[in-house]
Amino acid sequence: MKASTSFVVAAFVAAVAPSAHALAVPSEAELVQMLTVVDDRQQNTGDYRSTAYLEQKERGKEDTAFEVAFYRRDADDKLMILFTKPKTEAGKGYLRLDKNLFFYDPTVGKWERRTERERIGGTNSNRQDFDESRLAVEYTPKYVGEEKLGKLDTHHLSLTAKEGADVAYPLVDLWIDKASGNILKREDKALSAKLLRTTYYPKWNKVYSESKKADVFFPAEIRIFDEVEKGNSSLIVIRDVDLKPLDANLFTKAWLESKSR
Amino acid sequence: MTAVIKLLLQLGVQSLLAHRTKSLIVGGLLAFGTFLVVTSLAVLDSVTRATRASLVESIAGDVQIYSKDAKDSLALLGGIGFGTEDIGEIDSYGPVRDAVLKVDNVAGVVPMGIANAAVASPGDLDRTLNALREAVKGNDAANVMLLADRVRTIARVLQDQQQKQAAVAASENNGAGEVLARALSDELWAGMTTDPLATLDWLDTKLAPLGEQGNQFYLRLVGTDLDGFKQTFKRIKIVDGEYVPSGTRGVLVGQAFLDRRLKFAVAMHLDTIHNELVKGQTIAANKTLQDTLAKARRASPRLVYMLPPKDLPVVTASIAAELGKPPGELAPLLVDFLTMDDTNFERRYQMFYDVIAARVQLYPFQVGDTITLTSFTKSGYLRSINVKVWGIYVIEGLESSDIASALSITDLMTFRELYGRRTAALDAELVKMKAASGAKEVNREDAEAALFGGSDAVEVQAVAESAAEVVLDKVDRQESFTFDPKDANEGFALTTAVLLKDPDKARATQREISAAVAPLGLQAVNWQTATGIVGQLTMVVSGVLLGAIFILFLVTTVILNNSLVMATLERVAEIGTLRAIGAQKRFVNAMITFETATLGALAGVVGALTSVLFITWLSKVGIPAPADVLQVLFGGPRLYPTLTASNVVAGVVATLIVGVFATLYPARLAMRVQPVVAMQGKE
Amino acid sequence: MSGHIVELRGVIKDYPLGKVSVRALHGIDLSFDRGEFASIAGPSGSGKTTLLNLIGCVDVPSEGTVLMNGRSTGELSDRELTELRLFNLGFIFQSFNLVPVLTVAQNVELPLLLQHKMTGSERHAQVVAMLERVGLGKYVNHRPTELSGGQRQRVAIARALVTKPKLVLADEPTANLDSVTGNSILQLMRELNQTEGTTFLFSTHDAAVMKLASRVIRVHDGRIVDDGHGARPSADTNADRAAAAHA
Repeated sequence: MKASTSFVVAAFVAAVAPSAHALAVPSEAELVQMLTVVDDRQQNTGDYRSTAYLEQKERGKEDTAFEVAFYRRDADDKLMILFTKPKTEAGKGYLRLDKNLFFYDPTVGKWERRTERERIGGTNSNRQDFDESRLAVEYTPKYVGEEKLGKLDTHHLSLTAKEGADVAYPLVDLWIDKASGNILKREDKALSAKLLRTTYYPKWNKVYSESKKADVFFPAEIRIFDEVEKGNSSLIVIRDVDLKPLDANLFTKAWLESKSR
Repeated sequence: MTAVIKLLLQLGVQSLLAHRTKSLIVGGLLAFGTFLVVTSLAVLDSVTRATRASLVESIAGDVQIYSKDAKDSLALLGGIGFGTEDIGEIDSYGPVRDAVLKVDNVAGVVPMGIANAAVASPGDLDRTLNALREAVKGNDAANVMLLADRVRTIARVLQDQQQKQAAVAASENNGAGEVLARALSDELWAGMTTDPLATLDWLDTKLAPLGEQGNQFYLRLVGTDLDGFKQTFKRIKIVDGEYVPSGTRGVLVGQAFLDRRLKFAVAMHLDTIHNELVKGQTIAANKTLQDTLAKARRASPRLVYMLPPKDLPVVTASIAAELGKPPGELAPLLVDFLTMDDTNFERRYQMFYDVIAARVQLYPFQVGDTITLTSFTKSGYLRSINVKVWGIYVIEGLESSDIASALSITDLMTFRELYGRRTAALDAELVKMKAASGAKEVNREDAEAALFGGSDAVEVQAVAESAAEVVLDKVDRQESFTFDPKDANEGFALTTAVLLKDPDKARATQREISAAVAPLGLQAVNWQTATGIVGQLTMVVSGVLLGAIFILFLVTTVILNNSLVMATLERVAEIGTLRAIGAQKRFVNAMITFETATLGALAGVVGALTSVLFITWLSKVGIPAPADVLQVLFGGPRLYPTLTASNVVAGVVATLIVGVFATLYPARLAMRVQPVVAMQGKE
Repeated sequence: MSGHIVELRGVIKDYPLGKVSVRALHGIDLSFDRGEFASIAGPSGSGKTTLLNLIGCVDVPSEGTVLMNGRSTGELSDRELTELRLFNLGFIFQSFNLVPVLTVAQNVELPLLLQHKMTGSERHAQVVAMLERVGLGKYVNHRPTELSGGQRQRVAIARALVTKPKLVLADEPTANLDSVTGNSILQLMRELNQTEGTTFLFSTHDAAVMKLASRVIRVHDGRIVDDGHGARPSADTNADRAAAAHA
């Protein structure tokens, strides 16, 4: 799987991102609570479907873009990505079952299997990026202060990974919109505090979930900027979110194959 | 006049004879120098001829043409890195071919393009499960049974390994035991008939991860007009399968490449050891060979499930008999079998091939198979394409060199897809997609201002509609495997190879070709430059050798010069006398010079003759190539050098030049000796 | 006055020695005529060697003139000087100075060969005649190493005279010979001087030579201190008388 595609897709999958309840200067416990709420708001125990536009710019290479249909079932942790555009990519797909990541290419009619423990497609993304948000469980928050992001007032939190937490980024900074409680900006850092990437969530959508009996929030637009390889960036635009139950046999090889027949 | 010359000659010869030892030493040095020059030139010329035959006549051509705007230099057989070099593009090959064919001395023109592709080589379990799924989809009941058997065999081996591990180390039970048990259960396999897809899904998801991981191997491909290629590069010979038919897609793989890189590990390691033993090494004395045997043993468990189940008893019996043990579990018997030493290696090596290798697939693919090539194209996207392996090739004379067969040969259409230029259609589609997404272009520098500076509230939209079911347009499958060669040969390529009729005129012809293609924005280079490191090795080796010879000659000149100066100084009295009685300075000069010239000429002839004899002997015996890289230079495992007249002439001339240079100073000294009238000294 | 073989007029010779120059000859006037049998004597450092070098046309004066065969040596190039020597002079050395790798005949032939004036057979005839003259007719193809000292010196004499030079310079010719042999050599030279009329000039301390010489020139501190006639041999020749008339 091409590096940049996975990177984008992975980031996109993490897209059902946290948002936070607007609070005044909080204590440690309150911060943890904030994160819990953040995690919770995006939590959806049902099925999830959307379509997305993914764009990848890499220095020294041609710009690429994809349109995908994205499916996820939290219940048994299954994932399916179907590429719909451009024409040369249509019909290709990823299917994640357990720890297996299957890739299908209809032009050659072949399936490939990779164990998820691998660096996926040679990128830095790994299993974490595909999982739901568990910030409250995995990180310890600290309050940095109130800051302005453009015209918006935000809470700036600084997160440190807990001992033993299996996360991709040991240090994370979050800027949470005071008014709406959504995360607007996230900085991922290495243990040395070196800034690795910056992600912006300027637009948000919400959908009512039957199974949850509440709204589920997710970003409508994600912009990721690589801070190590300057000039590399990704754009994800999500639309057509649907939380209705998905077809029972959707997460099968047969289903993906059928799409391109 | 002639009398004077006769005298000088006589003086020269007599003088040499008078100082026999010194003359022999200096003469010997000169003769050795000549010998070295002639021999080296002969060998170098032979190497150049051989390399040319290896590279030029097999794949590179005498001249390669490619874009002037190329950022990197062409390196057909791979440069320093294995990456894709930027060698520019030739939009349209037709005009190039036409321009080149107008030049004299052109024997053939062929378009070429280099692409790198990865081929996935899944583990045995994955491979079998994929095949099983295909068989199920194709309702091939017979195959389904066979493959199901295979799966069970593999599962049994895995179970065996897992149980052994669990006994030794109290490692966490990650459920492997249960999975393997279920995989061998009748209940599961009953499910193959009732609900095959579900069973397959379970196998793919639960059992597959327990199997061996697959790996990838990389092919470096040269795409070309295969018909023209066959006519022009006659040294390519098919040893298995057939040449790709005209107008058909396909690939030819090199035999040595297969054997050195892609062969099943146990076989490859045994081959390596066998080759070393043939060269005279012994296992006992060579640690590397012992390590290789150990590697072979470590790779042996796979054999157990690579063998068809029905053959297991026969194989086990044979191996056990060889070991003098009762038949039992094959895996430990194999390990014993592969514990070889110098006494039993050959026999067991033969046995391995007769009994075991004959029953398994030694290579990731066979002639006739269709493999999937995946390439990271210039358009930015990954592209996969199925291509049939029509045959295995070798380059005549270089059968055992894997550099020579490092390239896989394919057709132009396959190459173009793997290379994957960015098309206008794709760009147009991307523009449409971007527009449909509704997102605007944002820089890193003013991202925050652009994204968050618009309004003071974050837009949170409620989405109510449900998305429509995704329906794709008809997907472009790879349907056709044929094409019109005429069309193919007009279009896109990366380089053009030109083979000349008369290689001795290469430089001049290259200039003509250069001029002919310059208006098309292209440049022409010779084969040494085009083949990258390998071709340039000849130049490097030449340089080093000639450098060494030059130093030797320098040293010889100095030594000779010294001895001549000493001799001159000894003869001051004689010279003075001659001058006194009326010999001009010129005479004295000639006297010294003649002496050296005589010695030089004699030494030169002796040295040249020795060299001629030596080369004649070498041309029958051959010089073995100590390393694979040198095989390409030697035109095979051995180089059979030949001598040309110019080599001999060069050698003699070199010696004479040394002689002249060495004489300059002593002769000057001699001329400065004053004529002597009254002697102060004694005789 | 022509007729002299060689004439020195006001010859001065200086040698540079570091920053100063040393004067070896202080204005020498000297001349020699045909048929003279003279010797030059003087201690080392007296300028004798310098004088011989000038007479032998191997060196040229710093001031004054040396006329050899009517030509002033100071105006000649090295090439011309060498030519001059080749055609007008002969040399005999105390160490014989033969070329060891050549035969006796080849040694004697050498000057003729350098002259380029004869054919091979002419040269050969001349060489053989000369060797007969010095009594070595049987040793034509021997190497010098096979001969005794006396024989070698005879070869040297033959070489010096084969071109029929006007003047022969002999530097201590008997120094490496025993007295008996030396005497016979001197006799030979005297004989040749009388029969051929060749002028002989010796550089020597040997009393026997000086006794034989018709003229002894003594040099001291770069000047001629004596130029007298030594005891003459009993038989006067016409040449002697003619020379005496010109002295």
